[in-house]
Amino acid sequence: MSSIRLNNWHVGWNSSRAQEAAITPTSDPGSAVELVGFSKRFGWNRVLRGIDLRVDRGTTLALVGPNGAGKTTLLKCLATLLQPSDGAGTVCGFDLRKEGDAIRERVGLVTVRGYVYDDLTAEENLRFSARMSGLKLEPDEYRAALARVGLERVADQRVRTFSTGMRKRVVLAQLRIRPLELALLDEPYAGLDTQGMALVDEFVREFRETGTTVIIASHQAGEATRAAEQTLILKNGKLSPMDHDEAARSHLSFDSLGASEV
Amino acid sequence: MDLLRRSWTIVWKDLLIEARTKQAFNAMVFFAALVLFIFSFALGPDTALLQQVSGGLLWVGIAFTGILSLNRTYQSEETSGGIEGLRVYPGDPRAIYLGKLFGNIIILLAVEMVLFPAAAVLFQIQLLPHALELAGVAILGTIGFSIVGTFYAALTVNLRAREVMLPLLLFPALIPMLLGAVNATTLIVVGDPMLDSGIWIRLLVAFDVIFFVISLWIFPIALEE
Repeated sequence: MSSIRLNNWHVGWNSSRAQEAAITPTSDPGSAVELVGFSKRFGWNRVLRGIDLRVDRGTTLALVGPNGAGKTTLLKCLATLLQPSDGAGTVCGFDLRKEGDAIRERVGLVTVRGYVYDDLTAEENLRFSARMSGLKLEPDEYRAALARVGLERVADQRVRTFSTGMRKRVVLAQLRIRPLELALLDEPYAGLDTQGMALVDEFVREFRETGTTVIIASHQAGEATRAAEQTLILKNGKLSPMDHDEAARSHLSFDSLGASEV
Repeated sequence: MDLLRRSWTIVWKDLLIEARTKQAFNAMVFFAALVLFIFSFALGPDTALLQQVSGGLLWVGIAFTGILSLNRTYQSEETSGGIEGLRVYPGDPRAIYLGKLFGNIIILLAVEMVLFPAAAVLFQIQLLPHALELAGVAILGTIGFSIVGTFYAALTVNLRAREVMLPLLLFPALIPMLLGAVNATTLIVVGDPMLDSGIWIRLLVAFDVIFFVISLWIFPIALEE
């Protein structure tokens, strides 16, 4: 049974520092993500405010919230691309501050545009991604990964000529060529047609079947919760629980002003 | 081993993109040729004078041209999510530095293969009798320029005025390397009976080794936010 646990501590800057010194998350082998008093500031702008969160391994979690709520920042912190300003955390049992390399071996991140080069072909992008991840795949395996996302016929075409949706499929193929313990999907449905969205749902299902933890961040609650088991809402840098069934049934969409039904 | 393999993957990717777009190479060759032409016309047809200043003019051309390449070093990642797109992968972040460094050295040396013959024609330099010595100085100078430049390019990549900041920060740090390269090149071109160029070549080697060790050591810190 997968679960999440969260508790927002509304703490000031100094008290967060004190917490960081006093409290460190346990390296619980059952947790994929564990954050304690986790904050992130950009200058004076506090994007994440003292987040406490535990996500069990194998959980599929939807993280919803308006634009600018801090969803991408949180995912980038979990992928060790950003360092926390205060607090501590572990991902896949490894310390976020000290063991970034071990975390990056286990975590895959899909951003809105993806890490794809326009002047490489779809297959070359996959090859680059695999080699950088330390994998050596056979040419057939790249073709198979592209066939899986419906791009086998354009494998030799430059990504520059692709539509947004096709580009997103290359990003998804990149994610599927290596084994992951935690998949972080930031707005994975953006720019995709119905088939593409179904493909994302299928990938998430496959991740769940293989025990990979998935966190889907989206400002479209209906989309994100469709493939997830549990839902959290991130607003003004703080996490709070959201009734998953209700979120899944609704077509709640967030914008910078708040939430609205669409 | 993994470090070198990942570095080579970055070099392969950058050179493949450059071979397809030719954005950096074409711009650098035209710019370098233009710089040499302007100097040549400004100084007139005095062969002795041209040969005396040829080392300086050549390295000014290489340095200005190299800035174009360095500015593109990390900017070329922008369509793929910036330098973050390389940091998302596991492994030592120094692979990013080494990959970008090797790429810059290869592109700059390719430009110099056009630049040196052009300088030979414009400044009336005999290249062939000194080809090996000049090639050695060019390689050492280019490596030194790229070592420091690739590091500073990573430092300035997220700055708003990076095109201005990069040369402002880089050129003072390059003074020892430029001194060595200019003097060694000039001595080789005008004749070096006392083998004085050896001192400047040793300076270049020392510069390359020291700055390579320092840059490689602190690059992961420079990559952080």
